[in-house]
Amino acid sequence: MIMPVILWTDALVFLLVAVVLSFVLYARSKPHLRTPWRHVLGSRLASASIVILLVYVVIGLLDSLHYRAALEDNGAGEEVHYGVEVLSVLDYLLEPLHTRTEKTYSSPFATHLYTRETIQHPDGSQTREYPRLIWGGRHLADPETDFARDIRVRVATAGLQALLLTGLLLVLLGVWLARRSRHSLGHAIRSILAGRTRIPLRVILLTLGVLALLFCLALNLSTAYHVFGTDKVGQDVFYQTLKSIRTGLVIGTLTTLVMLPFAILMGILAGYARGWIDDLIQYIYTTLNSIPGVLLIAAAILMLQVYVSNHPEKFETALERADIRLLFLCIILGITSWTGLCRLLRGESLKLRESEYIKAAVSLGVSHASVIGKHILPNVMHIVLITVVLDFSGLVLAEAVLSYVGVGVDPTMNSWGNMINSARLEMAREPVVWWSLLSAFLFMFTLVLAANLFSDAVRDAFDPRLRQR
Amino acid sequence: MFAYIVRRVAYAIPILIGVNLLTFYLFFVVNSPDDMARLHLGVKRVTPEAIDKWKVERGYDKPLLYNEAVSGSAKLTHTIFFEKSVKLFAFDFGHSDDGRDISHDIQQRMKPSLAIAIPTLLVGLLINITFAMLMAFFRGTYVDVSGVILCVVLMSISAMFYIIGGQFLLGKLLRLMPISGYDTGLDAFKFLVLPVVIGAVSGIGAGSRMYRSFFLEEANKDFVRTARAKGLKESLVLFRHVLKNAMIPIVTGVVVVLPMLFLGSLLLESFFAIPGLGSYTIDAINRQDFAIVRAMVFLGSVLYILGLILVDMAYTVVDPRVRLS
Amino acid sequence: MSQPLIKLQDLSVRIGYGERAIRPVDGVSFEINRGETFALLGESGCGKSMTALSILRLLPQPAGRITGGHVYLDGEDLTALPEIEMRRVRGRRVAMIFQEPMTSLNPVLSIGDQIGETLRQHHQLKGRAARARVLELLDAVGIPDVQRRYGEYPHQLSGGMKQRVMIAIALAGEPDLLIADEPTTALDVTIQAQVLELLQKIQQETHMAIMLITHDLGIVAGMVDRVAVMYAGQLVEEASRNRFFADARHPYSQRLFESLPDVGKREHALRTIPGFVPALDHEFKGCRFAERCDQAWDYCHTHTPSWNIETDHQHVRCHLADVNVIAPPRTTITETAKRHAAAGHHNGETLLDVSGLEVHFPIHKGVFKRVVGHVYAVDGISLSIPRGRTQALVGESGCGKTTAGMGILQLLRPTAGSVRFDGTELTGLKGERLRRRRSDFQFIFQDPYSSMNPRMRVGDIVEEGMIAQRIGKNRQARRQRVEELFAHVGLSPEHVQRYPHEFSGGQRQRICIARALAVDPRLVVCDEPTSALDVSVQAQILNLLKQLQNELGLSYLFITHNLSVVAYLADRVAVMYLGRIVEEGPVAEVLERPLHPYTRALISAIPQVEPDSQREIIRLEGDMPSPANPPSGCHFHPRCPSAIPECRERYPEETARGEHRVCCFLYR
Repeated sequence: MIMPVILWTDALVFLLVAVVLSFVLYARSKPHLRTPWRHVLGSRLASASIVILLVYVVIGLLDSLHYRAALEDNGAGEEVHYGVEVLSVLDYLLEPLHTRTEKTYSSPFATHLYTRETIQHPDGSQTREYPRLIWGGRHLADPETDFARDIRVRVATAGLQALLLTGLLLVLLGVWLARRSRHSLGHAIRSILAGRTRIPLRVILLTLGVLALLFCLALNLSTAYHVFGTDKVGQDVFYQTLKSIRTGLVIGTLTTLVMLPFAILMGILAGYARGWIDDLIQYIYTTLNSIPGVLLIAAAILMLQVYVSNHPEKFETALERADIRLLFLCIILGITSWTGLCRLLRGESLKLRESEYIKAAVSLGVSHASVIGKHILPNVMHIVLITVVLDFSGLVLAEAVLSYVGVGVDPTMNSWGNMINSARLEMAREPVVWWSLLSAFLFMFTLVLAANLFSDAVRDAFDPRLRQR
Repeated sequence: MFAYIVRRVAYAIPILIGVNLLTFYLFFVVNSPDDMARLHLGVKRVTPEAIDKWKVERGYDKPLLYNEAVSGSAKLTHTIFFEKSVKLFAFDFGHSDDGRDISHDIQQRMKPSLAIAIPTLLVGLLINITFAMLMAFFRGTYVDVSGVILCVVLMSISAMFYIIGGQFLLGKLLRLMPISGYDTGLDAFKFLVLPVVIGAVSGIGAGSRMYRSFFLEEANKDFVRTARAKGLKESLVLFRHVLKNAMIPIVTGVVVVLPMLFLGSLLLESFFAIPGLGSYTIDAINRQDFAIVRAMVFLGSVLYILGLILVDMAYTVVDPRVRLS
Repeated sequence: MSQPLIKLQDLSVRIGYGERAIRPVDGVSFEINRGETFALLGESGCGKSMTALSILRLLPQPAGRITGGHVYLDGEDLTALPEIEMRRVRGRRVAMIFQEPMTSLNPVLSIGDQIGETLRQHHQLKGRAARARVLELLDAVGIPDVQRRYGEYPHQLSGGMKQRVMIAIALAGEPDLLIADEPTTALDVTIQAQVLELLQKIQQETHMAIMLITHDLGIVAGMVDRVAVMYAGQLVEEASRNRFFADARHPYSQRLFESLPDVGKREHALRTIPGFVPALDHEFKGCRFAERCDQAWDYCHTHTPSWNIETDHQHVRCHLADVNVIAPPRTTITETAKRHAAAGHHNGETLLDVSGLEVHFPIHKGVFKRVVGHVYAVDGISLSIPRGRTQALVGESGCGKTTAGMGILQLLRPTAGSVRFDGTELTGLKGERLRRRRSDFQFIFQDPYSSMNPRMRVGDIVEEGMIAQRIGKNRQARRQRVEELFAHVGLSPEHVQRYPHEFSGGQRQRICIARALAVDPRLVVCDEPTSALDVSVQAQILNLLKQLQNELGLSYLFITHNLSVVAYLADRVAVMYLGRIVEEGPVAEVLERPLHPYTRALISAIPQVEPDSQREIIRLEGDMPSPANPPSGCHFHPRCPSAIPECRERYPEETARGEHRVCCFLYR
């Protein structure tokens, strides 16, 4: 028995998914949106990026399905009690990683702890040595001799599995392509492998293959070892960095979702209505802009802290507290970042307002609401889209910095910023504890790079000025 | 020109009032001074007397907007709003929550901040323009394409990794320079090299790419064709015609951030333990020193507005089409 | 005869790669001799600019390249020269001026610098010597006050002045050949006359050859020696000017002449060329003009015509001119132009009455948006239009004619004056009441490319007004009406599902007309509806407008700068200068016997298609002043050749001579 828990950010994440899906459906019916998207999908870098982004999104979504597990029933007929800990589907899937904690630091693939401990031997003598890990490599009888062989076997198994998986994917893609293009399966697979498809399926397959390999490696290795080591309290770093994905995605997307209605409404209103409304909106965004972003966020987060610490009764679990802070961070980041889009939209609306087709609509007696809805909004949507995808990677990076400054997400929440922040203090150690940084770096860099490449393609496809070149 | 500046300054006042009202609301209305006191004193020692004492020490014991207890104009001036917010307009920042003179601190810490920020800006500008020119010169070729991809890769790395990586590589492994710290006078140099290099390098990706697009934007204009039709060399076309026009957005983009340099860089200063305004701000946030945060918010907005005024003036210098009126 | 100065041999250009590469120039050959003026005539998109750019090897990079043929300059093959050598040709031996003087000058370099650059590059002139030469050149191209202009920037000059600077840059290299790519298209007629005259004068002095690229038959008639007509990437006819104007042989050239509107064709529909210029992204089979040619027969669609030589060095690319091809007897050629159906709605009852209309734009300054002055865009005009008639409003750019049109339709709020439409005062109407009334009067915009929302289907665009005006019971009724309208303006009803970018300029303008007609207007304001279109397409639109007027009894306010369109279409004409009407009257009266000195100058400046008409161009000095700061007295007096002292003192009141009104002291 489980009790589903819907956190604030979960609800918004699923709202966002709904918005994106309906946008996709809408875009399919409009050639002016379909053509540029086809452009995006046609680019090799962009389609590889999309695959990677989708993997991140799936992990993030799995981590957004929260529940509380029922406690062991101690008798029939009694009310079911649920555990205090809120878990997600991802936690369930990563169960072994989540629960197998060590005592303290251990390096990647280690079988022994990173620090020496005094061991009391049965004969009463004491030695300082590196003790065996509880979980990491526990199946090995003698790590000294068995380790290398075990790794080889596991890597080989993973390679084989990945190959099979990729083959399966190829057939699936082939079937899909064959049904669409009404060719034989063999022809479809040949054209995928030869790279003759309009959407670069070969690149997509290659990306999927690499991801399949990584997945199989993780499957085979992380169940037996801590592939990215453990942190100070012995938690698996790989688990932490996977959990951080949701935080990064939520910051990158919800911030935009929160600010979008304001930015669009205010921007178009300012440009279209002009006069005192324009003056007022310009005043608001100049004022907000003039406060350095970090300081405004700091001030707001500090105030939230004061509020939360004075009203503990409103937040039941630690996760809820962390969640409300995450949401608040999104809102406040949204407040500091909507001004840019608002200004762009204002400028564009000012320009559109003078365009002949809007004058024509006015001369036909079309109402203001209809002019805004039918003429202005569809003609500024590309700006909104470009801004949204461009902002994403910046926001993911900003999360790390803010967490470092101490005004980011809750310190108890898994996030790359928190990982970097805690690992940074260990840089001075000899020898250096580097694995937390490395895993945070790898996962964050991959996400941001994919997002950047994707947004580049989107901008190239949608920006009419760039298209002319 | 003078009249224009006066007008712009006058225009800044409502914005500063807005900033002040907003911070006042955030710091004193959303949470009362009592709440802040409780947070600072911790849960254990919280007695009404301790709270009152804490408030009196920091001048938070007055009413927010209107003081019934006194007479005359003091009704308005003996209030938190007047003491803490209105006085900012006179650049009277008051004292921090632990009793230090904020104005004095700011003056002290400005210098190290500038010592990092200005060289970082200049070095970065030089590198970015050079890179961007190279890419623009080879536009459409593999040099350009791989340059752009390199830029995207570079800008996908968080600034914190640049710092950590730089400290680790240059400071720890190669031992070329001290990892962190600061000194006054000429000795500061060896402490400054690493942060400046890292600061400049971390900006290459985004900067070069943006400048490249400025160059390409100009390179596609009609007058460039005119210049080629005159028989000019490609390098002359690029330097004389393209660069000169592309410098307009570059220069104005730099000018607008100039005043903000005073605030220093949060990350660089805190990682390298440089006693500038950036680390001052971070320390204040971590100590939850509201007085300093408030002062920095105000200072930041003043500098931002100053940047806007400067950029308007810069336009008249670099762009003959713009004239202030 | 000695070797030609420049010789193009089978030149071919491609832009882009692969199957869909555009072939703007496809086997073009011609020669230009020293001191000769050679015109390359053609409609937009026919490849004439690309021909010019490929001579200098300045094709748009990286997509454009020369794929075949040669360009010989004095016998030297330019296509084989290395880039470094090519730089010695550009600007020095062959110079070029471009269509858009506004964007062709570098905005951040001073005029003097930009001219001096050529001197330094090709004549190693520097410092004082260079400056002296620049001043000399500026003087030669007729720029007043050269000492001051030397240090000025392009934005401080008017369009005509910028084009003069471009000419000075071109002259600085003392080239043998000057390529002028539509040098006056962006300029007003009176300024165009100045610039053309300047080019002629310079040619007489320097004996350089000029290659003039243009779409305007009038310009060709006025100044060239030889003319080549380009169509879809090829030359279709080449002849001396006299020969060409006396006996153009290619059907395309013939139709170009016939589609020009003028007063003599008033009673008839204009002969038009159906369809539009084909896209150049594929191989052609047969004659490229066959699709649009009324004399084409099966043979034309399958066989490519050769470059036939006629008498007197006339070349024609047409099977009709080929002695080896036997053409079928002509059947369609004798068809006379269709007469317009007699108009039945001319009852003379006034539909629109405008009096004292003013549209002033305040100039704001400072933080508090203080009003420091006004732009007197429209400064008191009075007009009245009867039902079923056409009133033309002509003037040069910036005279306020478009603003006047917008002010009449309340798209801009008039500052003063009255607009009575069918007895209702429009200036006081607001909000919903005005919106309801809008179905009575419609606006057709100048640029068919920007006057339709690119994100909407054209059917929805036409339907939009009907929804707003609650015309048609339901969606189905409206849809049906949209399809009828499409058929009415000469488009296929199946087109309603398409998007604007799928149509050519002429088709778009038809859709815009359908959109206006959808709400059953009685008055249509047409703001230069044909100025963005090619001549042959312009004729189609003019025919359509005239046909609709006769069928539906529409009244037009026709805003234009093109007097021959006025002559063809309008009943009355008003001439505007700097926000005011200076002369108004029946078309025949005003055009035949213009009274106001400005009208006379305007009419004389229009290039005439008859090459022999030795008319005298009345040259106007300078440019139109700013409407923010109009001259005292008569606005025209600073440029007027017959100004008297009184003109400086006060504005002349209107004098009527029968139906003809004029504001000038000469006719008191």
